[in-house]
Parts: sequence; C-alpha cells; structure tokens
Amino acid sequence: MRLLLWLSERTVFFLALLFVLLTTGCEEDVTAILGTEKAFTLYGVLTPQADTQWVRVYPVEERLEPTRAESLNASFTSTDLTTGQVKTWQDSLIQEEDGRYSHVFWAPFRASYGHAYRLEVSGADKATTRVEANVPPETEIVVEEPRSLYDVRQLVKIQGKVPRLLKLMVVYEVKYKSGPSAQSVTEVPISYEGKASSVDGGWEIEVLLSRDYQDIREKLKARGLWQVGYGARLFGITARMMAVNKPWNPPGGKFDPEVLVQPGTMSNVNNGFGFVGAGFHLEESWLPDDEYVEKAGFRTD
Amino acid sequence: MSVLPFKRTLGVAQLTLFVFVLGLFPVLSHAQQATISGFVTDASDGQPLEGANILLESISGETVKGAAADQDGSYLIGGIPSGRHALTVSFIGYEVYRDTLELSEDEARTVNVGLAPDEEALEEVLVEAEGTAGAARVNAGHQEIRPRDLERIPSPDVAGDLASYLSTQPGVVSVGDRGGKVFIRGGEPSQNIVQLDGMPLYQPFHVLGFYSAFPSDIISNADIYAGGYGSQYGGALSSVIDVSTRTGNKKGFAGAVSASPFISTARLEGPLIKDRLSLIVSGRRSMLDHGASQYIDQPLLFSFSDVFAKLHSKPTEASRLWITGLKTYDRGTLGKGVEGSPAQEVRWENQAIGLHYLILPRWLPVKADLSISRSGLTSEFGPPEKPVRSSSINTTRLAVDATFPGESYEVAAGWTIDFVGLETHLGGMFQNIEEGSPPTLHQIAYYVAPEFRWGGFAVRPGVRMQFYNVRFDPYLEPRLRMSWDVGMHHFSAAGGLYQQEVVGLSDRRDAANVFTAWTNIPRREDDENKNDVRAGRLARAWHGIAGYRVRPNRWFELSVEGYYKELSNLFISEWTAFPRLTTRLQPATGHSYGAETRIELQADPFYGYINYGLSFTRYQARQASLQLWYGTEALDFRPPHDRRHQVNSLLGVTLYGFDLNLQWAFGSGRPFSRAIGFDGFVLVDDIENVANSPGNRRVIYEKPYNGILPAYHRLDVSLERTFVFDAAELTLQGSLINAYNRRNIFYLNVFTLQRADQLPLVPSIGLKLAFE
Repeated sequence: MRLLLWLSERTVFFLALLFVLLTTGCEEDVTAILGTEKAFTLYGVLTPQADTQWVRVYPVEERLEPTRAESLNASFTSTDLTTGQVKTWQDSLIQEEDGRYSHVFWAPFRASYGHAYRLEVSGADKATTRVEANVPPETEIVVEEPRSLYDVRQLVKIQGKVPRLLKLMVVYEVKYKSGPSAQSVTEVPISYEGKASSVDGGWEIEVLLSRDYQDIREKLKARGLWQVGYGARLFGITARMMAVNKPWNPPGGKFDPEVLVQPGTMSNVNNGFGFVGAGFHLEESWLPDDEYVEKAGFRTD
Repeated sequence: MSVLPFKRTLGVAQLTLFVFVLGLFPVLSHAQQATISGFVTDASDGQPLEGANILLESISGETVKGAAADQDGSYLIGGIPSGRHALTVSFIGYEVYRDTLELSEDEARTVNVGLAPDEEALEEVLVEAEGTAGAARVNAGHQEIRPRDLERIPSPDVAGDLASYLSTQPGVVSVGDRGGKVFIRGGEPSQNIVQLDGMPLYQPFHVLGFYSAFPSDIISNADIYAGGYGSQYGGALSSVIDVSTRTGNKKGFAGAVSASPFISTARLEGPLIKDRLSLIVSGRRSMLDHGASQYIDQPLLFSFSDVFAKLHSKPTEASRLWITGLKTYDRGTLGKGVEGSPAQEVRWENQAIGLHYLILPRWLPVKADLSISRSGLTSEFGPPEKPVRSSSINTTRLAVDATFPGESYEVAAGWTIDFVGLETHLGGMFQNIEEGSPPTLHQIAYYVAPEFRWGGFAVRPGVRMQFYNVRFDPYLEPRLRMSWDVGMHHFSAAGGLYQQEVVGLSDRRDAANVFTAWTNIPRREDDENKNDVRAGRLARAWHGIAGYRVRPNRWFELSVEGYYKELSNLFISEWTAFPRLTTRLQPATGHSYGAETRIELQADPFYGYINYGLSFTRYQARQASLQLWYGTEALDFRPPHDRRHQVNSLLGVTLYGFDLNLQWAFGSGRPFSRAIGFDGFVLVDDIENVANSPGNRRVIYEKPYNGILPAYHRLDVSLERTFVFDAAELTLQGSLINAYNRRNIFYLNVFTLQRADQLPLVPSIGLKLAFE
C-alpha cells in the first residue's frame, strides 16, 4: 500500500513536470522590457553663480532607439518654495559628440541662496516627475592665523549652514627654481576631501602646511621640477570647494561613473531617475606670514 | 622573477624527480625481456585499425601477452620471455592474421600487420563500433565519438558534423543553431580545451551551429570529456574535445563531393607515394547566401568556410610522420547596432598547422609522440568596415607524449611547452583598451598518469605539474579516473583539480555574445598590476564525477551520471548600466552540478536514444558597489548558459535501404537580464552647466538575470538513401529542420527589442557523390 502511494506520488510529480515542460515550452514570446511608471530622468545643478539654470531631461523609454531632433513634448516648471514664484522652462536640443540629441531645459534666473526649489516635468499621458533642491545659504570663508607647535597648521572656517562640502582642495602656488617667476611657478593641489569637520555655524578645515610641504616636494619630484638647492617658494594658498545640498553625496565621496550610473544611486528625483543638485563654488586665497611659511619648510625669498 | 627559498626549490626538484622516475619505472622493469611493436592497418586503404587485438601466445598455446591497437593503430607488447610465440591479430570485420615469432632475449622487433577486410563480416564492424562508442557509453564524463555517431544526427547536410552531435548531448548547452559557442556542464566556451590532432583550437565552431571544423569525413574519432579529464590535458577549467583525424588512403584515390542549400563540401584523398605517403584534403563552404536564404523567409547573413589537409607518411616501419593543417573563416551579422549604428558583424579565423612524429623505438619499450604545432585565432567585432573590437591568441606548442605499456599497468607521461601571444583591442564603447603580450613562454607542463588494472577494475591516478608564467612555483594538479566492470554493470568515477591562466572575457549579460577578448592572468608582483583583481590568481576548478552504466542485453544500454564542479577565481565583467561591456573585472566564484541520464536502444532496424540532463549553475560575483545597489555583498545569479532541463532524443530506422532519422530536442529557458527602460546618464560632479557635460545612454535593468527566455524545442527529420555503383556511391538526403516551425529564440537585443530566431522550418535536399 505504501509502495502504491509512493508510486502514485511519483506519477503525479512526473505528470506535473511534464505538464510544466509542455506548457512553458509553448511560450514563444519574451517580455524583455518591464516598463515603469517613472516618466523622466533629470540631471542638473541650481546655482546662484549662474544667471541661467539648466537641467537635462531624458524620457524613460521602452526602446533604446536613435534619438531624433524633435520636441520632447513635456512641460517643465520650477517653483521657488520660499517665495512661491513659478517659472516655466524652455526646451532646447543639443547634439552630443556621437551625434545623439539630448534635451536641456533652461530658465533665465539666478537661484537664490538659501531658497528651496521644486522642479516638475510633465508629459502627455505621463506621470509628473519631481525633484526638490535646496540651495545652501550664502557662506563666507574665514582664514585664521597659523599656529605653530611641532608643525605649522592653519584653521579655515566656512561660516554658514552648508549641508555638505565637496571637492575640497588646497592649492599651493609655488616657485620651484630661481629665475623669472613666469617660467618657474606652478600650482600644486592637495586634496582635503573629507577633511572638513562640521562645527556649530559651519565647517572647519585644518590646513597642515608642514605636511603639505612634504607632499608638494614629492609631487614636484615626480614631475621632475624639484631642485634640491632651491626647494619651493610659496606665493600663495587657495582653498577651493563646492558648497552643496545634502543629497549631493556620492558613495564613498567619489564620483565614479561606473558606480553612479546604476539607477537609484545618488538620486533625489521622485517618480523618475537622476539627480539635481544645488550649490556654489567657494574659494579663498591667502599667504601666511613669512615666519610660518619658512617654518613649514618653504622658502620666502 | 622571485627568488625561491631553498627548501621550496628542493621540494619541487624532489617532486619532479619522483614523477620522472615513476615514468621511467616501466622502462626499467622491461629490461632483459623481448618486445614487439608495430602498427595494425586496414590492408585495403592503410587506415589505422583502432581496437585491433594483438595476442602473443607461447608455443604451448598458453596466452602470455595481449594488447589493443590505439587510435594510430600502434601497439606495443613488452616483457616477453624469449622463445617461440604465435602471434594473432584480429579485428571484427577483418580476416585474422597469424604468424610465428622466434624472439631472443632483449630483442625488440617491429611487426606491422595489414588486415584484409572480410566482406561477409562487414556488418559486424558496425556493431562493434557502436559497442565501443554509442550514445549511452559514458565513462565518468568521457565519451568516445565515431563518425557513424555524427552521421545519425539530422542536419541540412549529407555528411555529419561534430557540432550537430554535441548539441544533442545532455550536458552541452549551445545558444542555438547559430553563434559558434558551446557550454559544457556549466563551463564556458573559453574554458574548453579543443584540439585537432593535438593542436589547440580556440573557436572551431562555425557561426551556423550545425557545423564546426570537424566534419565526419575527416574524423577518425573524438574524445569528449565533460569533466574529470586526465593529466594529459591541462590549461582549461571545463572540458576537453580532442579530435583525431583520418589519414588519407595509401592504396588508391578516393573522394567525395556534396551539395545542399546550406553547405557544399569536397574531399580528396590518395597516395602520393603508394603505401608510404598519403594526402587528404577537405574543404567546405557555406551556401546560405545563394541557397537556403533564397527560399526561407529570413535573411541568413552568415558565411563560413574551412579547409583541412593532412599529409601522412611512413618514414620507417617503426614510425609515422604527419602534418595537419586547418584554416577556418566565419562571418555573421547579429542584428543592428545600438542607436542606429551600422549592423554589428562578428568575424573570426582559426589557423593551425602541426607536425607529429610517432615512433616505436626498438631500443626502448615505449611509444613516443613528438609534436610541434602553431595555432591561432583572430576575431573581430563591430561594423563591417571598421571593427571596434579585436582579439587574437597564438600558441606555439612543443609536446612529447610517451606511453609505457605493461601487463597490468600502463604509464602515460609527457611534457608540453606552450608559447602564447595575445593581443586585444577594445575600442569604441569598449573604452579604447589595448592589451597584449608578445609570444612568451606561457607554460611548461609535465604529467604522469599510470593506469593499473586488476580484472575489471582500472584506476588511473595522475598528477600534472604546471609551470605557468604567472609564478615560478609549479601548480600541482592531482587527477584520478577509475572504472569497475562487474558483469553487465559498469561503475566509474573521476575528479581532479584544473587551472587556467589564459582566460576569455565576454559579456555575461548575453550568452549569445560571440566575441571573446583573450587575456592572461598577470603576475602579482608587477607594480602596474597591483590593482588588477586577476593578478596572481589562476582560475581554478575542482571536478567530481560518479557514474553507473548497465547493458543487460545487446539492444539496451542505460547510463546515469552525476557531477559537481567548484569554480573559483573567475573574473567577470562588473555589472554596469551602460549599454556596453565594461572591462572592469570583479572576482567571482561558482559551482555547477547536475545529473544526466542516457538510454540507448539498438534493435535492428531501429536505433534510438533519449538523454535527459538536469543542471544547476550559479555564480557569485563580488563587486564593491553591490552592497550599495542591492544591499548584498555578492551577486548570486544564474549565468545565461544555466539551462535547467535538457532532453534529446533520436529515433532512427532503416527500411528498404532508406535511413529515416527523427531527432527532438528540448531545453528549458535560459536566464537573461530584463530591463525596465532606457534613459540617459550625466555625471553631475561639478557646479556647471549640464549642457556642457557629456551624456550617455543608460539601461535601467531589473535585478540581473531575473528573466527566463522561452524554452527551446525542435524536431529535425532526415531521410537518406545511398545508391551503390561499381566505383561510386550516391547519397541523397532530404531533411526538415525545425519540422513544426517552432520560433526558438536565438538572440534578443534587450536594448532595441530586436529578436533573432533560430532557423524556421527549413526543408533541404542534399546529395553526396563518393568514389573510391
């Protein structure tokens, strides 16, 4: 009896398997594109430092087909959530290096510091894609006097509630050999990415002049510009960075296109894909007193 | 090059000495005894008779020694006491040869035998051939294939081809009737060893999947190892396809021409110096443009051709010398390019030439095969006039293989030295990468594989010592094959470690992608390679196979086999949403396991078999971004060649001189990556006008390999009749490929939704005229 039961179970199993094989085997069509409700992909930056704002708009399509020089048939508006002002953006067509066409929407206004903006793109029979971007408030860089104990350091303060600092870099302008300056001065950038500390009212960056001198020496050696008998004369220091909104946060602090290309990575767009940031460049130059410059290792004459 | 610690160097030297002495042991043990050796051939055409039995009996009638001729027809019997002996050489279908030998101590005599065909017993030859090969005759992953096996498979050509046969095997996944790629038991095409008379070939399968560089007309036999292969093979992870070719007729001229809407062929063979030097030349050319595509509702934008030649000579009674050459050409168009770019075309060319010198020296009881070959593959992909990708691999091989036969054992040992040159250019959307190396000493390998036999039990342990360019220390690869015959039951097992230094990179997002970029594993210590995930890490696989076969009577045979492959250090392209293959690699591991059942039936006038294969293959890739994208450290996926179920069946019947063959094949759907849609990508990494930033197209994929393509199934039918005249044979064949016109998908461009199907219902008529 048990054997019969076992056999009947096996028979049912094999019949079911045969049925599955035959039914799945009859299917000939393939659903390769699943489709999505998400309508558009947006990329752009709102900045007070430009008098025109630009945002690229890609429709989310079901085929990877050749692009055509025709209207996107979509409406693009921005709303200043601080003032309530609504602007309608214009479509424009650009041609990429490989001949493809892309749509860039634009509006002639300057984004305001500290204002929040909502961008909306709507197309016929498509849901609306939205993104909100907050422009960081206006910010000032204050460079404090250097400090010297074992080495030379200098505190740089970014005063203002900036959510995030990116591409933080300190650039040293140095002369590397005697003679006319025009032929022997070069800029040596030192990355300070991720070195800023958040403090009340802003950010602080401690510029390590002594350590940077060592880096500059190695970089000049690598470029074949280092002369042992001369060293490096410091002409000036410039701190450069981008003050940006909070979502502008690439994984690991690196802008790796192979990582960021994956949809959903560093994306702040609702009902769509892509990323729209907001921010501005910050830059401040200075030259410390000769006493500190020499103590850091540079020459001053 | 690193300096080796003394202890390690000593260990390697000791090991080398040990395995070398092991190889010499049979030679030493044969001292002071007589030896006979020679070649057994068909007296009518000079062809080697593999499997011929050689018996040496003492004059009293007691059997003292025996041997079977190998694929070259050679045999060697050592350890013979001096005295008078009766020699008997027999082979089913041939008249028995008898002679008496007076052998003195230490004598080594060459005895070549030509067996005359026995016309009355000709049918028995076929029976015997089917008994040693056959659809169910699998021995721990090993299957021996004869031309007769190939000719049974219906194809749009009168002659058979190894490619058509392979596609009927349960562990073999091909992407359809076009493409030129073969995946064996979870392995990838670049992980297969393919050899023609010992010459490595890298892409010998033609763009139209029925055909390869191995038509049945030129094949003597083919050994297919789906895994667990012995120590004589190395340098690849997955499987072996080892093809031996026929020699040309040494007695008289023979030839054949055939034509069909798919292919036309010609073969000519004959003696250049009677009984001493023969030549066989074979050429084939596709006829699709003027043939099949004219009457089926589908353009067949493929063309291919191959030319094979073999010059075989008998320099002395105890040696054979032959030169084999092969050249193939393939071109195929695979749909349109992305975004209106010109149609993508793939082209590849194989070239190979090799020289073999086989000797049975009188001064040593050994069969030695010295060979040198040069072979290469060049492939290109892209628009016809301006390919954007190209890759080439060239190998010069020096090899010495020796067999030391004994009474209850046999030792095979040998050296192989490969010089390999690689060159790859990946342009266009492949990011303009140039990579290559001039021909350098790539590997030196030494192997020894003794085989011991006790009654029905045979065990062949082996070790392969591989010195790869990637590091000085040798890589040791233990191997084991064993079998046990108990009455009608046959048990077998095999396993071992396999490593591969030359790897083929291809886009695993698409199994139909026919372009492979060849590269090698760089050394770890090179500064420029310190960030290369491949550096110093050879791809590696462990194989394990266990099988059972039973043949309760002459008309039924059943085999069941299970296998497991553990794969590590696979380097696969990182997952990317760009619509092109990235060359950034990520390490991956994988495993493949499954079971195969084969049933073969032979009851005159019927012949048939049914195979079922169940297979599971999974890869685990580790890409730094996976945690970010999918919240997991490793991407566990079914690669596109993971076909879960496969059924192949053949029914043949011979009635009134007609051979009718029906072949039905079923394969469950293969995985593929579905897309959600397409948009663009701009890297927003600065505060600037995005109109000035370059934009790229992007594929918004669902999670990788979540989709399953429709199942594949097809019925092919052929009807054949041969008319025999005095000096010629005319064969007419009619065939129906895809008899019920199933729309089997070959290729789906997920970017454009362009779909290319395999062949629709294709009727074909072919004829072949052979003369001798």
